[in-house]
Amino acid sequence: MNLTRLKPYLPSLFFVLALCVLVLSLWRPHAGHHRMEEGDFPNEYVPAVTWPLGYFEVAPEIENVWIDNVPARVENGRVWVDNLTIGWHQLKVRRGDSIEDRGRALYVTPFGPDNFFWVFVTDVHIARFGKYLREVAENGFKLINEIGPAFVFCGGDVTDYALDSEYEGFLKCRKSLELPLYMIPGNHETYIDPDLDHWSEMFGPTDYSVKFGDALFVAANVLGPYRSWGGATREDLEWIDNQLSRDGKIKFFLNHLPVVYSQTTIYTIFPLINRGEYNTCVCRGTEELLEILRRENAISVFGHWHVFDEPFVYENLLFFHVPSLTPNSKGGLIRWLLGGGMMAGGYGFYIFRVENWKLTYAHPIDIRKLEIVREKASDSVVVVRIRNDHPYPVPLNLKFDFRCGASIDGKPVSCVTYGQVSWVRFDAPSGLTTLTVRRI
Amino acid sequence: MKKKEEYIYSRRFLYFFTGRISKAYDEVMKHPDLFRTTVQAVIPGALIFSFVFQYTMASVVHPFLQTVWAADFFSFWGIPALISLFVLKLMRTNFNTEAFLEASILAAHPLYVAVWAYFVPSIIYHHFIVGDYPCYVAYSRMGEWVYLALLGVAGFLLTCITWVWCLTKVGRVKWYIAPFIWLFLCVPGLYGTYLIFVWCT
Repeated sequence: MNLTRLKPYLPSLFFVLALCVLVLSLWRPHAGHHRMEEGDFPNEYVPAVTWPLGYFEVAPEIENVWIDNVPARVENGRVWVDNLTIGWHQLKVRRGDSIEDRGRALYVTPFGPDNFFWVFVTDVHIARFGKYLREVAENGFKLINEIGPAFVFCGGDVTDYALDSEYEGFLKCRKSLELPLYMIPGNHETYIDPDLDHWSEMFGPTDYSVKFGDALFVAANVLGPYRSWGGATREDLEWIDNQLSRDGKIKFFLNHLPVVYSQTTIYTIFPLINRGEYNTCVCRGTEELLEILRRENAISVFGHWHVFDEPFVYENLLFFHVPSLTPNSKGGLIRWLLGGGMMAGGYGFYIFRVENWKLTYAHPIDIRKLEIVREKASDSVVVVRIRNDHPYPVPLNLKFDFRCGASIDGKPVSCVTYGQVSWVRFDAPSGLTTLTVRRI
Repeated sequence: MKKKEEYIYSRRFLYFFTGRISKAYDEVMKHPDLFRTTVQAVIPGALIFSFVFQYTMASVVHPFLQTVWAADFFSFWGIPALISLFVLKLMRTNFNTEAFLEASILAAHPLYVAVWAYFVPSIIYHHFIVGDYPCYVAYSRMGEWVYLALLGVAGFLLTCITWVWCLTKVGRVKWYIAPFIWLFLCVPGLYGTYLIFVWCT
């Protein structure tokens, strides 16, 4: 064979070969993990949340705990909280021979563990440029802070490409949030940081679990790197299995990528995603993961696709697809190509309420449809005007820095007071509501 | 006696980009040089596109993604070219393989030029003149997708014409068969480009 005849085709062949070698050598199936050891809980990234006269659980290896430098009562792995003000507290623990300063690692919430609500916010997508998205994110976090949940989970994709400037933007936006914010990495955080090392330096572990009373929250990372599809390895499944096996009367499995969801986007014709009865972005180990969720009857909450907000029931399991906080895309190209605004979304987060270890409320909140305006009517009266354009009530836990009583149209509203601070707690109905708060 | 015309390689591009498509293909058939055209046009295009894509995202993304984008850019030409070639071989038409592949590179250029026609001005405008945001943000969030889509559609339609022309003239396929080969065999092959993107990313 005359090899010179091959000459015209050699550049293309070598180029394709080089691309294949590069793709194969650089491809990695899973993002890095930074799993939290049991003994490392609580810490400033994954704080303990408890309630007045309540407790939080620590690993058996933790022998002593100091809250604000005062020794706390530790019994059978439970640290009891006596006479603490609502808010943040400093923790120190003794583990073995060493005393570790855990920083601001304890938050006391005004909620009891048998009736509380929490927020899942996701896909903040702070870009390096532009003001609008940052304003939306900032307003979103301000609104969440005003609503006053017990704590907040952030489901990932806080940046576009995990750049430092984007992280700085996110940290500025979340500044107004005084509540515990548990962070979960998203696929966009893996663009330039596939091992999630940089992410971990900023936000701590990528995989962890926390408890509030008997409610268990398992936050996991089943991401594939470089904006890829996700998947659970055997190691991931073992970890998730172990964590979800912990005691708990209600269990939540939180992660960025949709485990099971109903609608999908342009990938509907892609068999890796479309499994017939459902779609998934956790493309490997899906059945095994579902088996664990089924066994533990865990409720899954995730983000990623920005727009879908309808709960999905599959084999008696609940899956919540939380819309993005910022409108990452106007849906332009996608809408034009597919005739739908699938990728538009934005302005949303989810509120979940747990009462007596049952999920009694789960609704998406559109930040454009909820407005809470406080007006000082006199020295002793504050009028709060609430506009709720959702077709369902929205739970509120409004904080006032004084002891107060509250009413709507003369009817008293539940008020919880600790020390000199009060929280007015009620469900704001659809439409306009005027809440009158009087200093006592 | 008629003087022998001097061979100038770049004429094929000159003819193609000045609308003399048939003459450009004649030039390719007379002096096929797939080696030079691939080295000068397609490979640098794919490499530059991957860098541009990265640059317009204002980030230093992982080399893996850059490789995928280079592969995607290359496959816009490569997959339909391979499919056409395979079909022509099956049809046993009398054609020059090297000339056909080279002509198909020219045929793919309207699409490539259309993509560049958005990116280059957008980068110059957003990065260097105004300095507001990367052009990725401009087309994905600020509404400039319209320009990209319009140019892309126009470039694709022109590529349809030039490719069918290439099949007819260089591949020696009957004019009434060529559109079907392009439409029903080559265009579906672009699903491969989509798969490269989806699978790898």
